Amino acid sequence: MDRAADRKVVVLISEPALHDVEDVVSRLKQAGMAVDAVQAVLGTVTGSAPADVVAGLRAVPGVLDVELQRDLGTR
Amino acid sequence: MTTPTDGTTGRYLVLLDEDSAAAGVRTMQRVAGLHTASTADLIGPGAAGLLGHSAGIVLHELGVAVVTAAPDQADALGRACAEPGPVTMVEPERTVHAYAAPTVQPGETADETAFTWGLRAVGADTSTATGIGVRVAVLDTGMTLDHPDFADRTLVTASFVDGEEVDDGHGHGTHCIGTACGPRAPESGPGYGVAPEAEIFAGKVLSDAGSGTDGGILSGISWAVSNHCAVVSMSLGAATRAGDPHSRIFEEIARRALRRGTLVIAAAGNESRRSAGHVAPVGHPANCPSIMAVGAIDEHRAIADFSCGSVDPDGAVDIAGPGVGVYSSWPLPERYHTISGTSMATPHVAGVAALLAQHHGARAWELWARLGQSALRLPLPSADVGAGLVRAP
Repeated sequence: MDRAADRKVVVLISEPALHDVEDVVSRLKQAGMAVDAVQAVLGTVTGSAPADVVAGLRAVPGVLDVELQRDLGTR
Repeated sequence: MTTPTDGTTGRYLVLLDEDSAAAGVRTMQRVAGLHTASTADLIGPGAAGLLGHSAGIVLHELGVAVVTAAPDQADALGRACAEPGPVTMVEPERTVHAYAAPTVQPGETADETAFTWGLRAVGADTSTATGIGVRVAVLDTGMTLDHPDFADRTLVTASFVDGEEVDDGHGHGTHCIGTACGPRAPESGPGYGVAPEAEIFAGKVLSDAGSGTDGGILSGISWAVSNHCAVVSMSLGAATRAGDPHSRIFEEIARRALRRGTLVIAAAGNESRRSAGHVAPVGHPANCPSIMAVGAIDEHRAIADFSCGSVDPDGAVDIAGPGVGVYSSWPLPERYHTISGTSMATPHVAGVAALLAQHHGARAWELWARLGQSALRLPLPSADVGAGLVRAP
């Protein structure tokens, strides 16, 4: 797989699914996401996925929202 | 065409979809009648002639076109942005200058013998609260670990930047931590820290080059919430355009953090050029309603030229702090440095939040309300300063 074409994403887990974050993470991996980190206390998962996989992550059970990561800097 | 006087050049920058330069050239011709040359074709001696008959040039590797357009052509390009297609953004090209070091005119309030003007402006110089027992996370470029002013302080640190330790190779993080949690009575020089007994949590989410991504910032916020920090101070962000929606994910995680007792405070941004008539919208993530957005004022209590404003209905500036000519800690050998930005205003608010958290036992939404309730009202538009100048209890 050409990882260079991957998009960095952040996934928001829905409130009801917060008690089984591990299951949601497993499903995200199965859907094609490479997971960098899980912020369990916030209910977010960060990582990357091929561009054609990103939209489908929204349909993974327990996922409330998906956004592409932004670059930020000092202000 | 006459030369505009508002800091723009009369040309426009057109952002094209990634890898759609060729389609972008066709669209610009179709909707606005603009013939553009591409740098992809500018190889060999024919380049000058090619450019001579074009309204502009496409920088194909960047996916950006620089075009000379009449107002009706610029309008047509603007309309094309709203439709599906390769043209995604149009903005006037700006004349840019290297930033000069900010100079502060000495005024009647500029006596910094005992305290910085910022500490005096927020009333931290006379506050009996110190932030003791309150945890403040500053998510930035890290913290220099050998600064003498912090030798007897407990620092909890973590780096969320791949391959970089928390030690601050930039300076920005050390400066922000100094303002929020540094000393009021250092061995030499003026007192510059708002909450000198707060517990410092220094999270590195920006590299030594001063940049980072959403992922590192979320990891930093998560770390702060897990450690029961009452306050998260983020002097960071990304510029937005008027009308851009805020991040729904950052909005939701800010609410979740508040439910766990953590208030997230972020810099509004420095993209305004008010002296040139330009007020830029609050940046990401400060534009999320549940993240407190901080604007900057100067020592004369005027809005800073660069401070972003409430351009969008939900991207509001919530409060203001001192952000012009701010003296604070810096990595050795300099030890101290004076710089400007909404970045500098933000830790003033975070420090006062720690004082209020100590004084009232307030957390989360109550802490937000206390900050707004106690802020000093200023004779300035609320769109620029929100509730006003943050004030220590």
